[in-house]
Amino acid sequence: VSRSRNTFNPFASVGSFVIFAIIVLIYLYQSGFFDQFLKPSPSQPITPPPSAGGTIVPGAAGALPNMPQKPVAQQITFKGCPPEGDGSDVGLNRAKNRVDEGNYVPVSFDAVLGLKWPMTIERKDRVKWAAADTANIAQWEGIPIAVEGYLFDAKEEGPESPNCHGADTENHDFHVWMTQNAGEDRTKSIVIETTPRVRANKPTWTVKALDAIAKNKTRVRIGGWLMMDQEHPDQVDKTRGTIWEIHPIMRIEIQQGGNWTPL
Amino acid sequence: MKKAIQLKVTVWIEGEDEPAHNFAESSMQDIKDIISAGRWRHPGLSVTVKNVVEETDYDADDAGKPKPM
Repeated sequence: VSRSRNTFNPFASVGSFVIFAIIVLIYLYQSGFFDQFLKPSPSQPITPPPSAGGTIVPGAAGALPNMPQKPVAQQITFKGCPPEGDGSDVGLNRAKNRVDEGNYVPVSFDAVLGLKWPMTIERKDRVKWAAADTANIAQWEGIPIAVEGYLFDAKEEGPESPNCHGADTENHDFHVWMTQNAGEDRTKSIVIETTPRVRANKPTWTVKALDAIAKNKTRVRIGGWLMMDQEHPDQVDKTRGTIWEIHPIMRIEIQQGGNWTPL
Repeated sequence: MKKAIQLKVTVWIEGEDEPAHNFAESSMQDIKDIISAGRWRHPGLSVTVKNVVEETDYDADDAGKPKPM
């Protein structure tokens, strides 16, 4: 008995179709076709913080206020980067990445510069802090404050974990040194930082603009959140006076003709 | 004469990654692999990667110190 070579074999046809379909699916998967269904698109609109809101509480600058009930920090995912960043100290990153406005209490420069911290927290991730140390820092961290002074310098930082190691300027913090007096060096400065999330609505907050303010020795009033950055104790008395920071900065005002003008 | 040297090398690594993925952790492992991969070109040298730490101290003008273990 001989078999015809031209006999139609439905199983072979179905098999060919299945193999073809698998090849097409693999190609589509590798080309990223399914990404739009499986994960958020990079072009997905972000939810930037409100540009308005927040006030300077009337009154003279003084001591840090006693504020047992602090505003609850609000965070957003910014360009796919969650408030926790992409690793390192998650608690610190969340503190850096808050975006909410507050009612900023005027405090003296010395009130921040002279605020103590336990040495046992230095260069230690927050989850490893002792409970007493956590409570100590929590007493002050998260107070919305406004401090007057002068800018020493501004510098764009590099890729960091709170910003998911983004490589571009739009994903970098701007590190600014604030001094009490014009022309002072930075050994007794307070570090204040702008973050990408807040800067998304502040197009005038550029390093160039901040440098010009520093160069012109224009008095500034900075509103933002008091925050402990335990990572940099080695810089104290060298390139900063304290590891308490205003971070993130929410308001930058410059003194012009006796009035405060937003940057 | 047998010689030895300890080098501090600053390496900039850049690439695509998911935003929330721990880039520092994977990059530190990758650089060890990259150095290991080049050893065959220099069989006369014994190369040991002793420490890989992310540089995060952008605040200061000088280089930062690694975190204590």
